[in-house]
Amino acid sequence: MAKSDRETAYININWFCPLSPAKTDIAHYSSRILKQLCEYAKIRLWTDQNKWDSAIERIGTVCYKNQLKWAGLNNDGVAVYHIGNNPDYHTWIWRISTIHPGIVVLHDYHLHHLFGGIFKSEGNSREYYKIMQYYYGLQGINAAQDFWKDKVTTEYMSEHFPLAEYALKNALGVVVHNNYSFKKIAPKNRWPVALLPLPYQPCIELETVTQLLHNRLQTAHDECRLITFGYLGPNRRIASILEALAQLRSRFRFLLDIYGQVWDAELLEKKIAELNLQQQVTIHGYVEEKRLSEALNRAHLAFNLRYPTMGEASGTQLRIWDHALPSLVTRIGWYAELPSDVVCFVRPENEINDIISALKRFIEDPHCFMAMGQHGKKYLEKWHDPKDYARSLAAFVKEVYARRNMTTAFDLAVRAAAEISIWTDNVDDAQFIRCSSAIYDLFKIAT
Amino acid sequence: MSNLRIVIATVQVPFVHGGAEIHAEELRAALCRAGHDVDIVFIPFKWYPPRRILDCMLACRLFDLSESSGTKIDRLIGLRFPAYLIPHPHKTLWILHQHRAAYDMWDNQMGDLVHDPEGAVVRSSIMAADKAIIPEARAVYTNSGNVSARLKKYCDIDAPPLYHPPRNAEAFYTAPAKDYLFFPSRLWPVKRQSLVLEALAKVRESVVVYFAGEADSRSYEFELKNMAHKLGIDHRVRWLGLVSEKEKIELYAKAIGVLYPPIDEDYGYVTLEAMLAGKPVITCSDSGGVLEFVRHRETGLVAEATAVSLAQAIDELWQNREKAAKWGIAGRSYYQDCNITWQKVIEKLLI
Repeated sequence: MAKSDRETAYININWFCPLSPAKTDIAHYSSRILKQLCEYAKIRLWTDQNKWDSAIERIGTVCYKNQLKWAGLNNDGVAVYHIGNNPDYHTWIWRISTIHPGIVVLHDYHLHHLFGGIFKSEGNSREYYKIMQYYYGLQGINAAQDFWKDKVTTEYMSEHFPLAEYALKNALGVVVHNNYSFKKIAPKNRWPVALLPLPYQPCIELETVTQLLHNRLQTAHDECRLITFGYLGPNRRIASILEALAQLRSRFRFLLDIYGQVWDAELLEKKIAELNLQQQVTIHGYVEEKRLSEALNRAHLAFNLRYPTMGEASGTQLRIWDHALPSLVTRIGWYAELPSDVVCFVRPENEINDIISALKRFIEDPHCFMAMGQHGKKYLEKWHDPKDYARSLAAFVKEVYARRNMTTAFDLAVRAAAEISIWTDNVDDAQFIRCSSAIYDLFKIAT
Repeated sequence: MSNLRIVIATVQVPFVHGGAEIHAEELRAALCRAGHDVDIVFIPFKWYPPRRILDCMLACRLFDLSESSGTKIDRLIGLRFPAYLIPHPHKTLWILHQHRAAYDMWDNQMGDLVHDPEGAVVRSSIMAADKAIIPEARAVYTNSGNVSARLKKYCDIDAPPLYHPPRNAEAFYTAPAKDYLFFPSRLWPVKRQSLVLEALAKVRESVVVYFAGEADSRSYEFELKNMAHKLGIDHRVRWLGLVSEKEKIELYAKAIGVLYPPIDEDYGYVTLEAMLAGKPVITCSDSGGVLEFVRHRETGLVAEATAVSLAQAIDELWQNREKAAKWGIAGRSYYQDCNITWQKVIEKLLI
């Protein structure tokens, strides 16, 4: 883009997102995308962190959340809020998003970990019940009561009561990273929705990939290194992986490396001991990026299972592809939409057996899995380019900004409908029609 | 023109009565004198939290004032936002002002909308509605050149100003000046009584200012009185509160001059009333519609909007009584030359 074009196309963005070195992939995503996004936008980064990677300051001004003034935001383009499941990183961002309308980038669709976490930590059952009743009726409030008494897990609540709409309450527009979320949100016709594949800047050169694949094939017959990494909550299915390994006669051929934060390390170690897998499995915990990259280069096969899914697109999967590593994924959500030549599917209802047969196939035909790794790398380069993402995101932000009074029109419609519903429940009632025409008349220029 | 049934549509903030309300009443009186059947429809207006503004806008769009009790309403004259959004097949607008917090007051320290987290989206909605619906009217006028300029600047809508006389214009008279300056207006930050107090703390002469008018909020009245006390100028200030029309006219008549330094006023009856009373006006260079009438050193003084500059202007007028009287006479004759009459206004509005 020529300089003059770029200047006229500029838009101001207030970016509310965890920043590197926060231990969340959303912070990595932020670093990947911002470098590209500042080609199209002037960016102000808001944070509640005391530390951030100083390289970020070359991209935009970093402001601590206490500096926030509404007049400043009102006069400074569009707020872009990043909402994910970790309450430690996203609670403050979500709170601001409910007050000052902006664009929400929905990193997860199933957000009960976030909202359950927020309300439980505050002990605010009253508000939690109210929200669950509003979105899910009687079923919602019954489940909420069970959840509050720890009778059901967060995973269960997340699967059945995602609360994504609650996160979008005051949104001007929504960005999602997968078709799974898009199909759930777009048909509501409530917000402009953009489906943008999660961006990733490949780090591994093509020559290195050739060497990696060669090495993997050379060593696959001796021992096969399996790897899983990231934030390892119960939905990452490590227990099932261990069960499958334990049932495998040829288990001595496999070594499993576990990197990242484990939700309950003690429980996991106990399970490993019970299954007598101490020789096969090593828990490394959270390690530096460089060490993890070396481990991914050494590995032959990755596990990136989810059940239930939080409706996310997986940054972990993009990293696996960058290393041209074959992987096993659960056939669910975003993962289920992937082509069959870039991943190996595990059915959630037949999880352990599918893992066992995949590992057997690996021993029989490692070439097939190496080809999967190569395809994955190509797929990553084709669909997850940060430049494409940044260009599309900037265009979407501009479009939403131009139509931002749609949100007030919708809010007005909801409130008016609530009033009219007091005296009629007939949606064809002339009053509803007059009201909606009046709202359209009021805002037709900008919509 | 034969007898018409006319509705004047405007808004009212309960318990607040000022220039805008007088404007509607005077228009009704003028139309009645011209032989028409007229009623005023007041829409209650609340501007906070900002989404309440949208409620009022929608309510206005849902009203049907095309007829009443089975009889056609021939004309609707819309005066204030959002009442001017009310639909009517034969609507004329005479805009006193738009919702200023979304326009010229957006970046002003006294604007409230910009400080609300939803300010930007509500502002955008107000602007969209104004741009879409104001042109529905058969004719659009404003009450001053200042309001016309804003309408053009923010909404790209052309609307000529229509000046009208203040209430009881014929009752104003001039009397020998006594030792005070007169500041008649609601006590309200936009009117800037506080700036006058700051200036009074800096004047060299033993100036006395009579403030007439009620406060919209009691806390602001207290704030002003407290400020005067802290500045040590209690002896220079008289708080008259609400005065009768007769008292007001007398206070104008006997003043040395009139102080009126609001922030970007739309029109400002005070200026015209001062001229009718033959009194010079001290105003500020950012006082908007007032500047359409006050000519520096011809009909008054235009100071910078600072306490020091305003204090100098006050001292100058206080010291030069002859000049003050001369500028007052010039103001009255300027007003007469402008030929500001209700007849002209009504001819335009009922086109």
